Amino acid sequence: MFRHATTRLLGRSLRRRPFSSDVPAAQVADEAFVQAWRNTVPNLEPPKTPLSFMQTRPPTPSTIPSKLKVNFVLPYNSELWNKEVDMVIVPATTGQMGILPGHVATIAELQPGLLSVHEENSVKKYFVSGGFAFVHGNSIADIIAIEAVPIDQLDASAVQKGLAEFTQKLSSATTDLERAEAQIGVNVHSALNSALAG
Amino acid sequence: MASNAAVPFWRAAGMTYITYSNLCANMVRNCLKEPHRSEALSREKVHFSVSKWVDGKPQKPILLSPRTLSNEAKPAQIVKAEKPPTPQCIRNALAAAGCTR
Repeated sequence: MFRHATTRLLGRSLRRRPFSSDVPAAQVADEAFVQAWRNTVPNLEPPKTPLSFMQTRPPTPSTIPSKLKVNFVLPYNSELWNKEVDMVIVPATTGQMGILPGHVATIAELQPGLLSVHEENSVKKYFVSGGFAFVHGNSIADIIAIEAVPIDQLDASAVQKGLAEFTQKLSSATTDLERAEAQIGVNVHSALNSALAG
Repeated sequence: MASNAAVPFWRAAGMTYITYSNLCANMVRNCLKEPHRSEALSREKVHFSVSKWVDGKPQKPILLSPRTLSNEAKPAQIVKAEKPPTPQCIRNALAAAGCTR
């Protein structure tokens, strides 16, 4: 008579029927906030917070994937979003840094320089003015830049003019701030020059 | 590996990272070919619309651009027009426009 009692009890407790309000997104919301809301306003559903709209990052796979996912964003545009590429080379302040799938998690500050995205046989080149690159352990790289332009949109004559102007400014600078500004100008234009050269 | 220098040269000169990165971005924008250059520069344009409130009603708004802001703030020595206004510039320009708190 009670032979199936344990299975029934167990089965019932394990298989919880979801309520209509139990949307999966609510489960990733901040538990403490939801609890506090329920205590204060028990008859109102908790509002959706940004946390419930955000997708969780995929876990780090045990084997290294063949492709790297890149998010490359600017303040006004997202150049690449969830794009699967073979490799990106970013101009970090410590030197050019190649990011391949399975790269160790890193944060790198970018300096003005060439950023290249390698995909199959094609290489796309951008000039970035500065920003940050966040490399995650799960072969996802977020690159954030203040200004990035495809290399073919650069004007070589304007670069030469700027370089000459700022070199002249550097020699005539009197205050520390002016000197730093001229130095930045020289650095940016030299980087532009070498990016255009090759 | 971080660089051996304690701080970058622009930091030592008293610039913040925001100032530095905006300066770099502006230089890159100025080196673009023509249709892209004006497009990139216009994207960065900022202006303020200021109107004085009298008896609970807004007066005719005046338009302030960073150029007029820096000119009004320092009529004697005009600093670079492309520079974004500092809070002090805005305050001075507002005072000049007759907006007092």
